[in-house]
Amino acid sequence: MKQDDPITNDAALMVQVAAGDMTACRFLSARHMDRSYGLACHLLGNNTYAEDVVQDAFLRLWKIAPKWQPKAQIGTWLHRVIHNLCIDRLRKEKRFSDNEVPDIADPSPDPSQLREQKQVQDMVSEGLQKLPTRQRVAITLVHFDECTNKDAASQMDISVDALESLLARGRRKLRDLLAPRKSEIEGGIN
Amino acid sequence: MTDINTPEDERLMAILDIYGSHATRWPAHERVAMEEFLATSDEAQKQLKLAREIDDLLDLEFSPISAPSHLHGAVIQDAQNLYHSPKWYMNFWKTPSLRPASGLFAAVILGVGLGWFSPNLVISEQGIQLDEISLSDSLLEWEVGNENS
Repeated sequence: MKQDDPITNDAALMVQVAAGDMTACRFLSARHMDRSYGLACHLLGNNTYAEDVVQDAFLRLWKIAPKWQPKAQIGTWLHRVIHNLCIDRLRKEKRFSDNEVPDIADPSPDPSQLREQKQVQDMVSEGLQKLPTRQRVAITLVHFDECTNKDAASQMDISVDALESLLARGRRKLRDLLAPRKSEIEGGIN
Repeated sequence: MTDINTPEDERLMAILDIYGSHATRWPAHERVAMEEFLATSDEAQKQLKLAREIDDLLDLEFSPISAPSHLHGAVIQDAQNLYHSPKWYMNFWKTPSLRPASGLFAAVILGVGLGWFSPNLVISEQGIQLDEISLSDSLLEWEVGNENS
């Protein structure tokens, strides 16, 4: 039963990392990289910044390995670090320097459908970038990171009520921003 | 079908506004009430449709992203640098101008170590016996002198 506990399993992996086992490092990188990178991309809206943040977060993970305590899962820890690093960067930058959109892997083979989907995606992405930072972070944590309301509120250091207020305002504002382009969006999705 | 009458109903409507149409995102303790409410309220069904429109867009935006392979490489390289970095003394050998000095230093350390821990490697008992032979007037005399030893 102990063996199935993810916290214990993660602690065992961190012992291997601390011993310099590159297989454990590769395993952790493969397991958490895409999600970490996706979270950073959505929070920052810029894939170059996201790469810096993810590399920094993993470096912190390797460094903390010898002192790792089996209190949390690695994924939770990583996401919290990435979230904090992104918030720090957003505070520093005040505003993004460009609207670079991360490349999205899409298995659909139809180029015209792909193009329309990409246009819709760009509109949504643009709408999200226009939201106030805290509303965007709240929506990203709940929709992309699939955090529970308590986890998301805890990561943002706010109450669940405050999180709900941010989510409701964010979703409403996004709907208002996208309303004028509703026909284009419906064409792109269908 | 019922309408929105109570504060509880208002709360359930708000859940759609806050968390959207996916039941997995609703607060766990309110899911059952939410399902029942949706089954009985026209207003809730309308709100659910609106929430689904935004969710579809967000799902498209938040579709999975693959990290670039060079990022995987950079992260593993960081781990390698951290845990498999060369020892400080290896830097002496890696710097060409320091190689003669580091070779001399290594030889001195080796010589002192050998001299300290193994003096008999240089001066052995066998050597003393050979000296006695060479100092004797003849081999016969030496054999007579050592026949009882």
